[in-house]
Amino acid sequence: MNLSIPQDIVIEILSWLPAKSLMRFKCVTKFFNSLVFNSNFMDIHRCRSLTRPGGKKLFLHGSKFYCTSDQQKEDGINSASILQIESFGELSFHIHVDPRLNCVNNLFLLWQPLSVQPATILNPSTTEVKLLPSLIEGFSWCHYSLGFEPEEKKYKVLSTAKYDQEGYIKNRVFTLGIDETWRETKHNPSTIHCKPGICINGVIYRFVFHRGVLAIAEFDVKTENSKLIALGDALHGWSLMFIELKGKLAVIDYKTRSHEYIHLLVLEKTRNVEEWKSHIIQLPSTWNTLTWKDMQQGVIPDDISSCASCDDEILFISNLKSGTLCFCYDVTRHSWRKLEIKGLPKNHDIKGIFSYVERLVM
Amino acid sequence: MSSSTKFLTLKTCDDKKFVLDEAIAVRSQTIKNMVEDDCVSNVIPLPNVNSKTMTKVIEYWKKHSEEGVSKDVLMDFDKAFVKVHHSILHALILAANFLNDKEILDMMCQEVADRIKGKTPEEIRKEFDIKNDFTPEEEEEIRKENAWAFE
Repeated sequence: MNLSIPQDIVIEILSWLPAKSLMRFKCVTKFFNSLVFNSNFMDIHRCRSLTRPGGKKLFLHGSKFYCTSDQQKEDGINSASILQIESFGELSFHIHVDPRLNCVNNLFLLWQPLSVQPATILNPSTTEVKLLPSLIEGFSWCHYSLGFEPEEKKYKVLSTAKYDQEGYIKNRVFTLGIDETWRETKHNPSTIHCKPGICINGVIYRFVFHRGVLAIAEFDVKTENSKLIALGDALHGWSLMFIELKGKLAVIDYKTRSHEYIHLLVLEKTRNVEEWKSHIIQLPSTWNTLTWKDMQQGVIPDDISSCASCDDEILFISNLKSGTLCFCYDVTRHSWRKLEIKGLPKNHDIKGIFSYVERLVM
Repeated sequence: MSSSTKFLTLKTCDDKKFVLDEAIAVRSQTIKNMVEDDCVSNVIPLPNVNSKTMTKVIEYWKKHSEEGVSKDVLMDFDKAFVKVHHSILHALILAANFLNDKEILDMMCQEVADRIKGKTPEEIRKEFDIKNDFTPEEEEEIRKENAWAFE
């Protein structure tokens, strides 16, 4: 009774499917199998993922687990909604314990600074995992950063390894899908801070110590040139986190020990002037009246373990005695809402939260 | 200000006629092109669309052409609109494709995707009436590679 549907419409329909369904349907026919590698189809699928429900996802990880969740967004109101977590079957088997992560353009990079185990690229939409080549051994620590160059659509990984015995730091680059080994790149004398970096519009930003002062090193993914940005304020670093806010670099200073506000700095770039603009995010007023005791009892957060931005919202994760709390701040409306996270493994803290859009191939 | 409303007559494959405001009918890119090329005589034949399907399409066009309808109302309307039997859904997709109405086509394709996203590969072959062109070994290998997607 089926009116047969022409192939171009079948493709249309498939472009609206979640990545997981497409991976399952790869064995339907040879055509279905090849479709997910077709670059036109990938582009259409990515466009759809931006608008269809469930296309934008959250990635959460602890020291030993990784999971994803659809984003629930209830329009307008500060209502509590629920994140239902879906974990990756065997994925954790492959990857580092207590990893550092960063995410750009929907791919993730995972590494362990003190481990010789190679850094790993992960596509959570397809659970595809790829090990990068190992670095020359003998380093005392190594930090990595994933970058994406939007013009040529290339991913590059930047690594900075400290060789104590030899007394030098080596910066190397690996271009995904092109390089077979790490290539050395211009030496950057600053000491890299252990916080993961971020990549925005083809530029990797990392915290560095420059002559003993905390600053930000900029690395242009395309030209591989680097430069320093002063942080200005007397920020001490351990409490700082990068986020992307509407295409701009922003730094969140969360450990203010204040129940009233979180400090947000946004880097405004106009022509050749770069300027930090300071913002104050007021915490929900109900928290102001709470005391130190309440905090110790785990009613309100005293520390934020991770944050991520998504559209107009900043998501904060805090691990309390009573469980993990996720709260979202709408930067346009200046309002808060709470997200309840369901399905988390018991007694596990969330170390990191990221938002991404489904992507079919690495 | 009076502007004379122009009407078009659409004739479906089962010979039913629909008289429709031209301003509404041109939501179909196919009809719009015909009107712009001035090749519209009295009646526009729609050889690929039956009257039952056309009634649904016109229902959609009219609602989405009404003035002063709030976004919420339209969203509720769309939600109800796609809740139709499988066969009507397919007919609407083919009609939207022929009429070249991207809005309806996208909405319907999204609905089909939503209905099939949890199905098995066998069910998908049945759904789209397609033959498996893998050898059992090839199929098994791809299944293994993507085992997580079957959980």
